[in-house]
Amino acid sequence: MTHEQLVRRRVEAINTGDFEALGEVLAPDVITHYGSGEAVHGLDALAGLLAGFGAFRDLVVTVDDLAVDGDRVGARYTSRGRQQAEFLGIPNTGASVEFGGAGIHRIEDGRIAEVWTVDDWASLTRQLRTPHAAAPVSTPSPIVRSTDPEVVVANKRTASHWVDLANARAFDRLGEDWAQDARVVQGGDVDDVVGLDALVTLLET
Amino acid sequence: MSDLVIDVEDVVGAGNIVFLRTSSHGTHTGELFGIPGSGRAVSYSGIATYYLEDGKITHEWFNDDLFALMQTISAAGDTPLPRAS
Repeated sequence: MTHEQLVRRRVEAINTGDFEALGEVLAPDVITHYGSGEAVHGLDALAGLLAGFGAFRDLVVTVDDLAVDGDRVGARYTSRGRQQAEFLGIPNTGASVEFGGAGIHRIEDGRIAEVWTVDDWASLTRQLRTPHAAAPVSTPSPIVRSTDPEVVVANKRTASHWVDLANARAFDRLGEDWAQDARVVQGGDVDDVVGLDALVTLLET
Repeated sequence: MSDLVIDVEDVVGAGNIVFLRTSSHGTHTGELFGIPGSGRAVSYSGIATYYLEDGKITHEWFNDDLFALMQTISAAGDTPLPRAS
């Protein structure tokens, strides 16, 4: 299986609750970093973690973007489902929800050996507390996908550099890394930030 | 969180897409999500997706774990909650 296939199979296995298929793509001692919490070790621990999401039994995760870079695979997801039981102390609302997420997967010996994922639970819980807050996640505009390795290296440097500028509070220099008409998608129920000026204003407050 | 620092833990890129995995650390000093500053240390993860064109970022899918951040600071005003084991 290619690195891409491993990551897509993992998502399919989670969507269908197929732990056998999950066991075929994950290393037995897989390390899972879910959100900001402590790492979970092994397949048994992972099964418990997934069972905790039983309030959304019909949850379907769609892969929106995927990038293979050496032994690592990045993926951006949208998850859609309906609450069918109490979740984090929130009684069952029956609400349909849609929220974003992303993961990085490290591949070793043909299996996924380590996974880092962050799902937008802030948006998810807001949508359950105020169901009318649910809104479609913005769809991406079509982009030109370069395969030039030098462009990829430059792009990685640019994305990292913007974080350096943010840490230095050098918001007046964001134009070095950001397009003037850039768009920041914040989450299913929060408006996008449109334009570099709006982004600078948001960061300064 | 005037002292917020974002550490880049990993950079994964292909084509015009870059993923940044970050770890953010700071102190909750000012009002945030309507919760007054607590002086509590905060730490949370993020995995953002960027599209680039002609060397500039055109899109970001912001994806910081604000749920963890809100849990940390909303617990600050009350009796500290026991950490989940």
